[in-house]
Amino acid sequence: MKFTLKVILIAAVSFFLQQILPWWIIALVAFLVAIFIKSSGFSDFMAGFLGIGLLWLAMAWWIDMETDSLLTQKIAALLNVGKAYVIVSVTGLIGGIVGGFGALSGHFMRKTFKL
Amino acid sequence: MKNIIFTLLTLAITISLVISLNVNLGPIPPLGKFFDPFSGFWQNAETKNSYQNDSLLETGGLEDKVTIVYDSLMIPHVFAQNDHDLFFAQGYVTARHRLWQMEFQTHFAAGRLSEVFGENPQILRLDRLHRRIGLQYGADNSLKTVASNPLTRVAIEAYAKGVNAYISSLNAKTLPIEYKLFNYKPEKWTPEKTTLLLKYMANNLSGRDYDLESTNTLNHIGKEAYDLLFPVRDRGIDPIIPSGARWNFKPLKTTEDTLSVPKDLTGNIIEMPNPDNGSNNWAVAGKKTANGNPILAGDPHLGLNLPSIWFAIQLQSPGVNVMGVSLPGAMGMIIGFNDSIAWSPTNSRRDVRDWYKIKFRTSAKDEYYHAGQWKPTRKVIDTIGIRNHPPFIDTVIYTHHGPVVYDERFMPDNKKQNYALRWMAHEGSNEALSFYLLNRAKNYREFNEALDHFVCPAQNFAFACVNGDIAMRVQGKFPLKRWGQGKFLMDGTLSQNDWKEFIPQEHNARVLNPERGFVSSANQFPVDSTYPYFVYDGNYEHYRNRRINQRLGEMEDITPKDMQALQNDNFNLKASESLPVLLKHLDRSNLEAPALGYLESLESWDFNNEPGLVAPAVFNLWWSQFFDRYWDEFNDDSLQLRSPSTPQTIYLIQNDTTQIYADIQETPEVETLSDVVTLSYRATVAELEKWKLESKRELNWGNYKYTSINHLVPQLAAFSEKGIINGGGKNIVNATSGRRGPSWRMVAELGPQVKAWAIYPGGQSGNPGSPYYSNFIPTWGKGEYHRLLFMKNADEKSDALFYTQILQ
Repeated sequence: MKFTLKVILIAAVSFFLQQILPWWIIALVAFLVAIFIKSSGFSDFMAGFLGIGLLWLAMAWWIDMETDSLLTQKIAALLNVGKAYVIVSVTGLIGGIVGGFGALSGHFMRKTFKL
Repeated sequence: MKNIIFTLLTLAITISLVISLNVNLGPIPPLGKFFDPFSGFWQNAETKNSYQNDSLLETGGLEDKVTIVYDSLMIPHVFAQNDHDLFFAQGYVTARHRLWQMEFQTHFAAGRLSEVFGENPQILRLDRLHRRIGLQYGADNSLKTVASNPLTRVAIEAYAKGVNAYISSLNAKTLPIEYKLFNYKPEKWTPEKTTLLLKYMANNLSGRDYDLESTNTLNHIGKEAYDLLFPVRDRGIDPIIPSGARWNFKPLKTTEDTLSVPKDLTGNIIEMPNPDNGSNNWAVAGKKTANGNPILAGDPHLGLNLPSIWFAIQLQSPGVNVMGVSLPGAMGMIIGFNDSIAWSPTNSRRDVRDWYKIKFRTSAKDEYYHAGQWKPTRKVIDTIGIRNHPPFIDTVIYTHHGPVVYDERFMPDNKKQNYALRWMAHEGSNEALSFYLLNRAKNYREFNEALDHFVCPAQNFAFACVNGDIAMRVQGKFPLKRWGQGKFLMDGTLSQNDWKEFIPQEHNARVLNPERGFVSSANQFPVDSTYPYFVYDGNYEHYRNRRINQRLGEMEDITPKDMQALQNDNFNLKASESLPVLLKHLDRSNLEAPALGYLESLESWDFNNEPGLVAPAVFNLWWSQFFDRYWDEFNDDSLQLRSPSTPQTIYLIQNDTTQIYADIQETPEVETLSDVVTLSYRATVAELEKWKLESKRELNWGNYKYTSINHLVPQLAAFSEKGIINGGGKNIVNATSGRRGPSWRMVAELGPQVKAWAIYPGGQSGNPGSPYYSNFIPTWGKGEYHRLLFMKNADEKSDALFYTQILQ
């Protein structure tokens, strides 16, 4: 339950902050959430990974659907990865990794300073 | 302790991830920033609905309200209350759709691409070249002239303000995708950038000369052979101004000095724009049309690129109501029509670029010799910014002729060769004033007054008016040259070689309402031999114009549809004149399976370059294989030489009994014409068989020429449209070859209501993620048109309207 809450919290706060702030705010959000809500290291990493990863995946997937993959296909061709869905997945993966490491940094920070 | 290490480690990983995903890694875009679905490339993906959000915009800087009505083709119709607001709004909407392209093209002209793309020897060389040939120098000169005229000063400044209003409205999300890919930001637009863009076009259209190739060739083969092979005018020309025109002026006198050409041989010659940049235009008088209204048609042929070179727009304010195409970056309409007239230019291709060999006093190059004395040079230090790298410093020496383009810094192979460029594009000219006045012109007199300001690149302007007049004027500022002057490199120490006087405007060739009922031009020789001035270029066109004149001569009761069909005419006049000669000399003994099949297709061919036919591909390759072998004397690895023209070649193979050039030099045998024809035919067959295997496509003309419309940055091939099936080709009225062709096709009927049809190979949006990026291409490929919506006022109702935007 707490895990799901963390995933949703990371995704929701990032969603709002990303409207106005640069993309790297996602690392800070995952970091802070992991500091303030206590979990195991693995759980924190996964919460950051899924929170941002799913947010980015969902956004990318939605834009891709709305625009009939018009640009997604061109980016896929540009980066030589073939299909549009690869670009959607890579988007989620990049967000996930940054979110995951952000949360993991927060996890150890909390442990170090016994927050 | 362990926790501290883990904290530092994970923090380090996170921070380095963020940093490395926020910067370019070589050619790879900053992945985190670029893939971010909230402000990365995903935000550039648009649908038709994305456009309607911005109905009311507070841009600031306007004097009054401006209404912009978009039609279903995404063409903006701008309604303003004064000139200032009109050009502000034009700048704003153009930037809205084409900002990246506008900046890229002016960076290109200014020699600033290395600032964007970083260290790359080829790009640096291009930057240096553009600075050395003086595009910036010409733009600076023009800016002074443009700013000294109150009309164009208002226009150029308001346009810049409009572009900047759009730039300042941008944020991380709305930045055009190319900026996200290469991770940079647009800079402020300035009036100077507009003049740079006009010099970019001047370079495209007048930046090709043959002087150094010609000098090499002359010094290689001697004057007698040169004059025989390279006549100033080809046989059988059909000039722009019909023969029999009377020249009602007293020509200026030129001196009769004999030419002395320096004995230089130049190994490497600078890169120059494609010589095939050209166009067609014509106007037919009411007596030849079905409903008695004059009709004007025009199609400029340029490199086919995305975003398209043209942006369609309608501009209306008190005193002007004009529609057509503009150049993103320049105010006003370049080709189009208003309530009274229509106009369309073709490139005049007149030689307005000459090279002077400079003699310096010492290697410091502080002084050069001219007219019997040593004169001081001017040194310009060019600092070329290179992204993530120290800048490159180049010094360019200027003489009164112009910049010394060739010297040991830029062309290290030619240590002793210092060549200065004199070029009409260096003039401080105000073509913007011509377009300003042309957009507002109501009749032939005002058309001429507008063109008086047009200097470079020289154009042949076709004109038609609702009052029934049709006209053609060859316009540019032309140096007065003695016979033959400027064909070759000139001795820069002699003042008699300088450009001193210019042909007076009123002596420029023109014709109004000729007897034959039509005017036309297609980059051919402009005048017959009675014109009292020396007219020269190394590359006049010889086929399109004769086909157009032949068709217009025989057509009656012409409709706009007929004119569209003529713009798409695929008849290959060059093939009809050369293929019979090739077939006559082909030795058919020992020809076997594929060779016989191709021969059959050629013999049953009606000379139309239709996309589904095999014959045009066979002919095209056979002609070039033959040409290269026949003129192998002019194919030298160490020296760039000129080959004779196609019409001259066809004349020689029909009439030359000596056939000395037929011999292929690298073989011990002495080949005859028939040997060369047969040998090149066999090579053609082998090449075509190889092509079939490699391309895995069916052999036909459309597949073979494979017309492609490429993004301006070659690496962004994914943003290109490739393999458009279409007929035509080089030297054909439908001039669609592989990488160049009709960049805009327009037919306008000048009746009580001006009607126009047009198409271009692109789309109004420059955004590869927009449905309007390339939506005109299928229509263009089929040779079809859209009827343009020419609105009377902002309140006009039409089913073709999309949405309305108010700027204030």
